[in-house]
Parts: sequence; structure tokens; C-alpha cells
Amino acid sequence: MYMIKGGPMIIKKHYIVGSFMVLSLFVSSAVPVFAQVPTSTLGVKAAGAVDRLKNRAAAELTRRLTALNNLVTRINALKRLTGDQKTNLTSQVQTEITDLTTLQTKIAGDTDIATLRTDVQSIIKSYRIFALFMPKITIISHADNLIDTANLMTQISGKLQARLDAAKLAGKDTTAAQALMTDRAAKIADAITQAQNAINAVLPLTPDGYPGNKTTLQSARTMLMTARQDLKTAEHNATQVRQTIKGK
Amino acid sequence: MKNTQKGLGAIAIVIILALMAVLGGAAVYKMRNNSSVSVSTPTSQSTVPAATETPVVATAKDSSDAVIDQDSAAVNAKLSALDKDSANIDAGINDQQGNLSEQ
Repeated sequence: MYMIKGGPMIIKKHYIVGSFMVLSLFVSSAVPVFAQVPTSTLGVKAAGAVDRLKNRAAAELTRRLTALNNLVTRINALKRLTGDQKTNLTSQVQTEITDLTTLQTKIAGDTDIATLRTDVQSIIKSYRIFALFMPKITIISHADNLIDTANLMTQISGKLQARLDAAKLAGKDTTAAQALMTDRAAKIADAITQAQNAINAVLPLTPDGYPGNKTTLQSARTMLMTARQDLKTAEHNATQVRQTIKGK
Repeated sequence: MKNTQKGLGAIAIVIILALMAVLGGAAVYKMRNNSSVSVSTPTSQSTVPAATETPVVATAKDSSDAVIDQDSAAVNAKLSALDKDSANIDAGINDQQGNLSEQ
């Protein structure tokens, strides 16, 4: 063992300098963490809450934006609305897409919990718009496709009737098949009426009336169920008529 | 003197008649304009009904078995697609907002 002159003093100085270095390292590494989420009363727990809320908001906004963009595609494919009605619907959906996209960008940049909470409240409050548009436009689009199918079936009815008339002329008993054709025509007509009524019922609905107007949406859904069943029965009738025509 | 007065009186009557004709014409024109506006206004405010469906006429063009089979397959495909699409209506009506809580 040997003693250095002034040893304890040198050790003390080294200790102080070292402490400062460690402290400065700690501070420099800690600063970026606070910069990510610089909330006033921020702790690890609060930062976690901010991140969680941001992630949930982002997921909900992405879900809604994807669905709304799909609705625009559906509106563009509609055949039974006037040009003005389609433009009006598209414009309403597009406005909502724009608003939610703006909110998405804002929330991504939010750095304090209070602003973030306010922005998340905007997502919650605007839900009624999404909640109405989704079923409303899906119902209109579904009814539109249903009428397309009914029209195709009407065209086929003409061909079946021609074959049936020929079979009758050939001496075949077509009484039962003719009754099926009459029933088929009635079912197709009813399907078209139900689908058109569903469109007329939901078209005037606005987000202001939601959730009160949910019963109208459910009623339109029932109309479309009836219409689909009508078409299935009509098609079943056609199968039986074809068997008569083919002599089976 | 009397002739001059008569002449002035006739001119005055002609001017008055001309003024009455102009004013009367203007009034009739204005009334017609107003009536045409009042007719057109309700039309522009009325709600536009959904486009009406043009009835499809059943035709007997090419009613061979092969064509009817093909048509029937197309109908079945459309009915199947409609069944699948009905799930989208249910999803729309029963949609729930995503979890936006902080916890």
C-alpha cells in the first residue's frame, strides 16, 4: 500500500466529476422520452394511457374510413337513384371521410392528453353519422342488386313461357306448370315492390334522427328478407317448370 | 281659341291613353312573371323521388335449354351473392363503436 500525496482530495474530486457525468448522461437520455409525450403531469403511466388512446383512436378511424370508402364504391354502382340523389349521398359520405381524415392527422400529432381526449370525443360524437350511413347505403345497394336479379328473372320467364306454350301445343298438360309461372310472376313483382319500398324508406333518413330511425332500417331489412325469399320461391318454380318442359 | 283648346285636349287624351296602355301592359307583364315564378317554386322544392323502375318485358328470344340453363345459373349466382350481402346489412345495423377508453 502506498499513499499519494493529497490522495483523499483527488478521490473526492473524481467522485464529484464522475457523478456529474452520470447525471448528465441520465438527463440527456431522459429528455427524448419526455419529448415524445410532453404532457404536463407526465409519468410512465400517463404516457402509456396516451399511447393506448392514440392507438385505439387510430384503429377506429381506420375502420370507419375503410368502410366509408367502400360505401362510395357501392353508391357509384347504384342504378335506381337519380344522378342528383347519388351525388348527394356521395357528397355526404365524402364530407365524413374528409372530417375523419383530418381528425386522424390531428390525433397522430396530439402531444397532450387534454387535446387528445377532446379529439377522441369528436370520434365518439360523429359515430351516429357512420352508424346511419353503413346500413342505409348497404340497404339501398342491396335493394338495387335485388331488382337487377328480379329483372333478369323476368326475362327468363319470357323464355320459359315460350317453351311452355310450345309444350302445350304439342299436347302436353301444362296446367300445373302454368300455375307455377303465374305464381313466379307474382313473387318477382312483390320482390321488386319490397326492394323499392326499402329504398324509399331509408333514403330520407338523416344522422340527426339516429338512433331513433334504427327501426326504419330494421323494417327495410325485413322487406329485403321477404324480397329475397320471393325470388328464391320464384326460382324454385322455374326449376319445376323446366322439368315439365323437359318431360321429366 | 276654341280650336286650339280642342287640339290641346285631344293631345292630352292621347298622352293619357298612351300612359295607361304602357302602365297596364307593364302590370300584366309583371303579373305573368309572378305567376310563372309561383308555379316553378314548388317544383324546385319538392323532394326528388327515387328513379322509377322501367318495367322489364319478358322476351322469348333464344329459349333453348342451354340458354335457359345458363340464365338460371346466373340467377342462382346472384341470389347467392345477395344472401352473402345480407350479412353486411346486419353488420351495419348492429355495428358497435370501437373501444376508445383510456384504460
